[in-house]
Amino acid sequence: MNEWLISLSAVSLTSSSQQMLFNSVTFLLFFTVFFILYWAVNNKLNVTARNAFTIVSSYLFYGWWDWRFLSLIAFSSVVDFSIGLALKKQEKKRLRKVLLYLSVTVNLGILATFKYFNFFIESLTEFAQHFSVHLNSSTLNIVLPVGISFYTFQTLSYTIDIYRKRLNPTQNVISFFAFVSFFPQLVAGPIERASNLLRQFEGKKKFNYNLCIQGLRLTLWGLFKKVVIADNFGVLADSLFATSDSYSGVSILAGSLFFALQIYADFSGYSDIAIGISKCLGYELKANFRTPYFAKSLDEFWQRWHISLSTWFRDYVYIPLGGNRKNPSRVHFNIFTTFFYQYFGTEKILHSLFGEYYTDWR
Amino acid sequence: MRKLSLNLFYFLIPIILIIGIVPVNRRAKYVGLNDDCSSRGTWMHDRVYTNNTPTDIVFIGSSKTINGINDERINSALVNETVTNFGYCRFGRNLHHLLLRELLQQKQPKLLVLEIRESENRAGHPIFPFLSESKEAILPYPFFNKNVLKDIWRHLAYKVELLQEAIYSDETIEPIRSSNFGYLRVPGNANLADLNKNKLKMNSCKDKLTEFEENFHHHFAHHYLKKIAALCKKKKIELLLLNLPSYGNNRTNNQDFIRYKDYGRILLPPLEILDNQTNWFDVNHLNEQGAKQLSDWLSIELSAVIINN
Amino acid sequence: MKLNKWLAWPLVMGLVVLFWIPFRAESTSHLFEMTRSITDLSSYSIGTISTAIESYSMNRFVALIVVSILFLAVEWNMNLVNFSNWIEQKSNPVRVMNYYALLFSILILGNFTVKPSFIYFQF
Repeated sequence: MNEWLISLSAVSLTSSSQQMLFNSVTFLLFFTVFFILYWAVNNKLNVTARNAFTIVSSYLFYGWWDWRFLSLIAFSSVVDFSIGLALKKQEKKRLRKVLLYLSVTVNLGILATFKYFNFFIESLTEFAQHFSVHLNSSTLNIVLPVGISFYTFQTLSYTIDIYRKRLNPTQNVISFFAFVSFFPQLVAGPIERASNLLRQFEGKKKFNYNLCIQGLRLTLWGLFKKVVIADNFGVLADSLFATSDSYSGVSILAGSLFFALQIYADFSGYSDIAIGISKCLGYELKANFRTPYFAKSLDEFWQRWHISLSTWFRDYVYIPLGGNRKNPSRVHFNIFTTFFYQYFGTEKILHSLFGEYYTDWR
Repeated sequence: MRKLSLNLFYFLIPIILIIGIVPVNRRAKYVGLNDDCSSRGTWMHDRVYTNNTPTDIVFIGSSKTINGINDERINSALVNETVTNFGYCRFGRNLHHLLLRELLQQKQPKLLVLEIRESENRAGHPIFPFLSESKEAILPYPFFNKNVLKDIWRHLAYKVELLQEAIYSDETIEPIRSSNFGYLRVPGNANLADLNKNKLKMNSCKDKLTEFEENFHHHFAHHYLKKIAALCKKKKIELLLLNLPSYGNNRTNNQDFIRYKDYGRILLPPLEILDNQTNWFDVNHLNEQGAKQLSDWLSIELSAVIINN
Repeated sequence: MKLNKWLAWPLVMGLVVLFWIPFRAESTSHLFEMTRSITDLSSYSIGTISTAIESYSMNRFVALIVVSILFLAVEWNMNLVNFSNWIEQKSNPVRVMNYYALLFSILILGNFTVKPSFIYFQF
């Protein structure tokens, strides 16, 4: 019997922890209960109570992975909410800059610590060994919080937009916490801007049948992409890349083609489900993919792949660094930075690249 | 919201009906449980459907039956009868009813010895939804099985998995073992401290249910017990209820068994066997020595029943 | 240089497919080894592919390829709109047929045996 079935039943002799993925039964139950209660309380209670309920549910969703992650997201929310309010009151340019740097340092500090600390420590330990210095790295193992980049970028964009006076900070801490922790897009995006999502938490909502049907359609499509396309091609790609001893060029190319289909269907399927279930709750999220494999140039591919991240880099990295919207190098810069970040995201690869480098050097 | 619920309901009903109607191979259902209970499901299926040896006396129950009843030993003692231990890990009367029905499709047992213990289960057996027919799984007896919705889901999900296997796989699963007997020997002795602790727990009154609670919590189990008793009566099978308690149950309160008297004769193993601490593998299961003593006692009891019949 | 769209998209997709290869490399030497294999035409044999497909199930692979072609055809047809907006333009019976086709594909071809994972959670 398959593992997913065993985990559903008392037949299992070993209890396995269930991640609350969109394609899991746990999530189906969670969302069904949430959906019914959400619209039930929506009619009875005010906006704040509805958002408070959304926060509690989102924290439950996130805590399902590891409850310790909750302190990070709460801390990140408190910092950016407070800095947002302080920026509103502060008119002095220098102090505003200090506040911005504070937010950037805290957010990127958390991100760097949790995402790259292990990598740097392990690299340092290896490097130190060349000089016969033995560091104990086993005590420094840090668990990577799920989706930390997504909400870090989201909160950063909030502060930067306020600093640039393009956004008024919210006075409502409940709305802000709901915006940061909104469970449909918390762990895998799309990375939302406050100008789009935060304001949606501040108004009354009325159940919209047509919007909900649109959401269910997208959810079904996303589920199909994830469970049928991604998870099947994933098995084939793994199997082809696993036989490294007998590599033939054609098996690498086939493996890579299957992986390309897997990664696209996996990520865009997840985004479709996120957008779909948000619609069911009355929220509109930005599109994250627009059939990128049918792009007719690399520039166009990039404009259609992980749109929320590439536009984030465009708005908060490239333009502040002096980029010109009319300059074609903009696109190339976006490609470079975003893929560079994604390469960093696959920490294992980078580590092994450096690890190998050290081995070769030694 | 009402429109959405109705449309979703109408949309999903054909899917559920199709999954329910499409037949799946019966053996595949048992084979799918090979990771559970020492692959006993496949053996049970093959013992009923492919092994032509008759099953005159059948034991049905939980792992207490598996480890406590040495059917081969009883079989040797009762020369003219074939004895089979059809115990399956964990407890649930709906599974016992299903196993009896499956058995009756191929065999004509004369005696059914059904395990009873301190208390019935509040829910059905966890593997029942995997083995049952869709009609029974999707429209189950609902009062008051606390896992009713979970069981429907399990059945549908398992059926989808079996359908995928039927479409894509042509692998044949060979019989796990071909023995006529289902007893599983467990050597070794229980920890004495555990046994003593369990004895104290067993005889404390705090866990006892009131009559109302008993009727409410165990209604589902008794519903199936009644069905088992009725089926036995219809097929002229004598139903015996064998008490297999955990260690330390002094059986001071025989009221516990009154509710079973309508179903059949109750067999209470001697306390000399049950109280002997060297007869236990753990607080719930007899070891090899305990099974031997219990089976010898049962051989005498069953001989008497056969002679009387 | 402007390429014909029928030439452009396979070219872009081919480049992207090649681009993903380093993501599967476990080390620099592994990456070099893979690059060497791709450029070495004499290493081209379908042995490893057929072994991988057989261990996965040939019937299932054929079904997956058929469904994937249909999936890519829908994606091509969708162009820049999302699935919901695309299907909304279809007639009612076509819509319902599509929903059931998706649901049956999930049930009959969905892979529920893999351990739940999501590539971008490490992002």
